[in-house]
Amino acid sequence: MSGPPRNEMTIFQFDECFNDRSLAEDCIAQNLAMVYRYPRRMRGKDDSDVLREFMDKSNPLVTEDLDIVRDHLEHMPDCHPGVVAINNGRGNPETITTRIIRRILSRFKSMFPDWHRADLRNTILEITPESVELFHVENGRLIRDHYLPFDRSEWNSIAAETLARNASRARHTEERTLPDQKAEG
Amino acid sequence: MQQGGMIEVSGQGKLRGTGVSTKRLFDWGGWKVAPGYKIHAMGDGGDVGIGEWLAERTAYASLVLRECVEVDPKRRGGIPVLKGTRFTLAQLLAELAEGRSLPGIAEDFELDLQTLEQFMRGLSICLDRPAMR
Repeated sequence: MSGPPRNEMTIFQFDECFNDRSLAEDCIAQNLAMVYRYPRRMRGKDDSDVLREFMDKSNPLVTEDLDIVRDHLEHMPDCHPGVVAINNGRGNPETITTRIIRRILSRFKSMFPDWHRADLRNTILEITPESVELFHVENGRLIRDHYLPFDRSEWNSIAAETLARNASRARHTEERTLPDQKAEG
Repeated sequence: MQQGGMIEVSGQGKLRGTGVSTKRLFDWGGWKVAPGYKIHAMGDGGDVGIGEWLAERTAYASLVLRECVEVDPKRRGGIPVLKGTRFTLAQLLAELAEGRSLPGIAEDFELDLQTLEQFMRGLSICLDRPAMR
């Protein structure tokens, strides 16, 4: 899993529950990132199929499903393009909508202006109205890196460091696995 | 049995004007009606009791919803979704509550408008009932 070169625009992959055309258009209009809308051939697929399909590609998956990774860790490789879950958070009973997603994203982007340059590889990033939470997967286990409420000072620099560390985890893994692969080849 | 008109439940738990106990009728339909509650009986030519009518409506609503709702633990963790999609019905209702239209939601999320409409019809039938037990 190499991911896009960092000087290229990230192309996010929308999950079906996140597949609002207006959201995709907003994203493209900002000219900071691109999106792939959910492919028709994948409609109504199980959570595990979604992970199998998209975790093998190069585009971070954007979903509103906070549990897709937690519930299907057996389908989460350690190295993946990244998962961004945007939701109200577990303490908030309100159902997520596009309008709420816009509000959450707008706040997050304003406080984390370099979001479009962030390397999301191997990170599961949960964004809520109040916080971000970062995880990575190691041998099928979900490891929590940080819970960062927005009122914590320096939360964004901690998040940026964590993202970079998780992305480099991929490179280390690739370096470790490449000689074996060559040997097998 | 009255049909096609308003039936009022008396303080004694009887259908006013009939002497028939609501317990017998509504237990059958799965409903309980508080005294003073008024219900339209919609017979369609035959002798249709309230309980039977409610039972029929419930069965009909189930049939309608079965065609457009899926609950599968493997998809969205078992949150009810629109059939053949990963789009939750909770989100559909929340989007509607924010003033979006069914055709707009169908277009923007690439969902089948007829299925959305069918869900709303089924839901309306489900909610069109007296106080539940």
